[in-house]
This record gives sequence, structure tokens and C-alpha cells, in this order.
Amino acid sequence: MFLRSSLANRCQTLLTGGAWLLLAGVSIAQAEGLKINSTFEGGVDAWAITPRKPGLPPVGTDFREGNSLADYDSLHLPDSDTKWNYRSVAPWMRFSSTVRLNTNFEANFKMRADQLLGAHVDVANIDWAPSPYMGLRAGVVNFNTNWCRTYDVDSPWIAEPDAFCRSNIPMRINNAAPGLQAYSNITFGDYQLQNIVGVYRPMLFSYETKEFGFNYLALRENFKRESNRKISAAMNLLNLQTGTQLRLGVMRSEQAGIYSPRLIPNDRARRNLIDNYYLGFDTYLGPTFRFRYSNAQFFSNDYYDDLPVLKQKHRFQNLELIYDWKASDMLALGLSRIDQTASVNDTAFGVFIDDYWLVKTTSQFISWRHQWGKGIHSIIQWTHAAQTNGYFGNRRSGSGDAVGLRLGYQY
Amino acid sequence: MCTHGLGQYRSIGDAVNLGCLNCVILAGLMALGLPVWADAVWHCSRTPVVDVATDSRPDPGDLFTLAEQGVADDVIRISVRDLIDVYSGVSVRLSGVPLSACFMPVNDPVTGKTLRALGLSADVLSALARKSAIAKSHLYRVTDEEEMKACIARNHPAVGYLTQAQVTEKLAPCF
Repeated sequence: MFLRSSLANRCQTLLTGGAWLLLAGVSIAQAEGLKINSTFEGGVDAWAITPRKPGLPPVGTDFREGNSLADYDSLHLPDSDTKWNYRSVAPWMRFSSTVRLNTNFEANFKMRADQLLGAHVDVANIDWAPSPYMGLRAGVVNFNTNWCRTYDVDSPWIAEPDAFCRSNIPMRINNAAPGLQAYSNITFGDYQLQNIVGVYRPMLFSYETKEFGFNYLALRENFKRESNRKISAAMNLLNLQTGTQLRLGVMRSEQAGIYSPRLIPNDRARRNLIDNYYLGFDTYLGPTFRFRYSNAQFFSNDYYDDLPVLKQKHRFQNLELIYDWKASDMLALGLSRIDQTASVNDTAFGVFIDDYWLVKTTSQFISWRHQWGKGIHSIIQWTHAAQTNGYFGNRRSGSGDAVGLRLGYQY
Repeated sequence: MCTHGLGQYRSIGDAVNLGCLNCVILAGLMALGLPVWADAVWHCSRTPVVDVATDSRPDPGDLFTLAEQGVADDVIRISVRDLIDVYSGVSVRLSGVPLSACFMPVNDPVTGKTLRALGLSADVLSALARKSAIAKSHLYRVTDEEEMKACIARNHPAVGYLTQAQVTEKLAPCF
């Protein structure tokens, strides 16, 4: 109860503080006569989900035996692993703003708030573009190594089929961080090629203090994170005649920390190396019929006292068909598959397990987006998910359905 | 593709010379009650009063030409090349400020015809306008004419299109 109240207070403080800072910034910019361009999107989501989410397993339950909550969270339905306490009817918002400071400089700001990922500043940077062909960004920057549609105004989904873009752990690794980026934008013939490289320090300004690969939930309270460094590169190729697009992205994350004080023998120094590869392909099958495929893979190596112990592979595949039925209506079908496996080779404790842990989740999605005019839109989405998970060869399966309605307004 | 001589026409559609045969087909379609989509009229944002006072005014000769075209004298002035460039995702700047362009979705009938006249496709524009792009474009997707007007007004200097010529405090026909 105390934890819940504390979390709510922190969120409220963050939102209130952010809103005041934002208002102050906009007022100063207006007073200075600067050109400001802002977009707000917000509204309410309502979900009906079956089966109901189970409660926490009894204290002392061995997680390796499996439990109904772990089974349920493996479905990645809208109430799985939410940052805020899940409510079936909940508000959401997205805000983005650009202030042009002079001919070549602009300041960018983007933030979102929803119960899945909480309140989060995704962009707060200065962009220097000395020419139309290149630029630099410094501050909180989006990695741009993927096609997540958080701020796109034409997404047909309430919750994207790609769990890579709507789950807490991969989003922490792949979304944004304080850093420096250089990008280029060139056109040759019928093609536009955009490239970007960047270096990041997520712990700077206490921007991201919890991230530690895919295992941060298993870390105990005496674990102290010491460093978190990332580098990334991405390219996007667009055919200017057909609209066909290809995105390739790579990212390396290196994180380190120690248990202090060491309370149990397994409180060892930890280092995490994660390589992430992203492939996205988007093309038009007809004038109003779009096909989209993405494949994101993570290869994670955990070192305990500098010994390689835990290896994990996470693969998120996503396939979508999007039909622009009318100017005001969009229909979409989606199919996603998540494969996650882990193996342990712990020489210190004499444990060698190839099939240590496994999760496979397949999901189907259908949605209909309608524009009502005056910036108002609605989306109806249906999701069916089925999963198999377990440790040491023991397998537990389950499935679930979610039907959602979004009412949104854009200004 | 209309890449020159467009300045003397009111809209891209006017630039395409509709011969008598087309008029007969048009009349036939109307008689049959089939939908007939009007040509789009290009609209540009108007320079705010404060900026006009401090900005350099056009030459009297230019004003005469503009008046002849029925274009308000505080409407931003861009070439057809600029129009094609901005809708192709190429950065176009007016007095150092990026020119923005607004468009409607791929299956909006007016959009298809209008963009085809420039040799462009709304599919490509949607791809260029997405926020997940690496380098930001100045293209904005809207879903109806009200949003188009708001988009042109909000993103000054900006260009867009409407089915009928309209003059407001923030925008007016151009070309």
C-alpha cells in the first residue's frame, strides 16, 4: 500500500514538475518571439481482458516452478507488466514540441504518459542542422534504431503488435537516453538514404537508473548500478517512387554493477553486454494496401565476477497488413511472435543448464481506426495471445484475449 | 509533370488544360450522379502582420503581378520547384525558416489527383512524414480540410491544398 502511494506521489510530482517546466519554456519562447510548433494527443483507453489477471504468487514460491502470474505476463496483454497500477479505463497522452531558436538550431521535446510505460520524457535535445544533408543532436535523444510508432499520428493500433515497442524491458533498452548523435539525409535518384550514429550515457542526469538488461527485476535491493554505456547506428532507405522502406539498426549496451554489501555468496559483480539488431521492411502491395515486417533480436551475455554465466536470446517478429479503406478509416491485421531463451554455465556454482528458461508467445491483432473530424479519432482493437513458458524443460501454457477502445484527440 | 508556367494558373488542376472532351465527360458524370472531385486549390500561409512590417516588401512590379493573379500580397511566395521539393521531403527554407507542407491521406480523392499532378505519391509522403524517421521532415499528415487549414496556419511558412479557394487571416490561395 505504501509502495503504491509512494509511486503515485512520484509520478504526480514528475508530471506536475514537467508540466510547469514545459509551460515556463513555452512562455519564455513565446516572449522571445520564437517559432513554436507543438502537437498534443491524448484520450482514454478502455480494455476488456480475459482471463482476469491473477494475483502475486504466495511468498516463498520458487519462481522456477512457474506460477499463474508469470504465465499471464508472458501473454504481453495490455495489463501485463504495466508501470502504473493497471486500470481497465485509463487516460493517455503524447506531447511533442519544437522551438526554432535560429536558422540552424532547434530545441525538441517529446513526452508521453500512459499506464503501460508511465510518464516519460523521450526527447529533450538541441538539434543543429548546418545543412539539409546533415545534423547533430545533443541531449535526451531517441535512438532511431527501430520503427516504434509512439508519436506517429497515423498508427492503426492502440497497443502496437510489436512487443518490442510496448514492453517495459525492451523499451528501456531501446528507446532514448542522454547522448550525442550525428545524422545524414541524402537523396540520390529515386532513393532517400538517412543514417545516424550515436553514443549514450543513460545514467546521466538520473535519466535511467533501473535498466540492467533483461534481468533488472531479479536484482536485489543491495545491487548498485555503476555504469551504463550505449552506442548505436541505423540507416533508413526509402524509395521515393514506391514508398518501399528498409530500416536497419544496431545497438550495443554495456552495463555494470556490484552488490554492496555482499550478503549471500551469489552477490557477485555483474556486467551485462547486450547486442541488439533490428530489421524493418515496409512496402505498398497496392495503392492503399501496406505490408510491414520487423525483426528485432537481442543477444545478452551476463558476466558474474567476469565469468560468462547467463546467455539469453530474445527475438521479436512482427507482421502487419494495413488497409487505408477510406480517408477517414484504416483497417489493420497483425501477427507477432516472441521467442526468448536462456542458458546458464556457472562454473563457480557447478551449474550447466542449456534449456534453463524459455518463453514463446504468438499473438494475432485486428484493429479499425476511424477519424471523426476536428482531431477526434477512435480505434477498436482485438488481440488474442497464446504462450508457453517454463524452466528446466517444465512447460506451462496459456492464452488470453483483449478487446480495447480508444478515444483520442489531437491538437 | 507541371514544372513551369504554373504561376499564371489558380491551381494545379487549372494548369492541366481541360479540353472540350473532358468537359463533356465531366458533364456526363454529373448527369449520371457519379462523384466528381473538384481540383485542388493551393493555399499558402500568410505572413503575420508583425513580420510584414519588419520584412522587406515586394517590389511594386511584383505587387502588380500578384494582384493580377488574385493573390494576397502577404502570402508567402514559393516556386513550383519549391512545392515539388518540399513534398518530396527535401528541405526548403524561406528566410532561413523551413517551409512546411500539409497533405491528406493516400485515398483522399483530391490528394491523389493533386499530388499526381506534381509527380508525387501520398504513400511516399506518409512514409516521409512519420515521426520515427531519422531526420525530421516538415511534412504533416491531416485528415480533413479543417485540419488542413489549421496545419497551414500553425506551421507558417506552410503550403497545402483545399477544394475551394478560401481567404482567412492565416492563409490564402497561392499560384
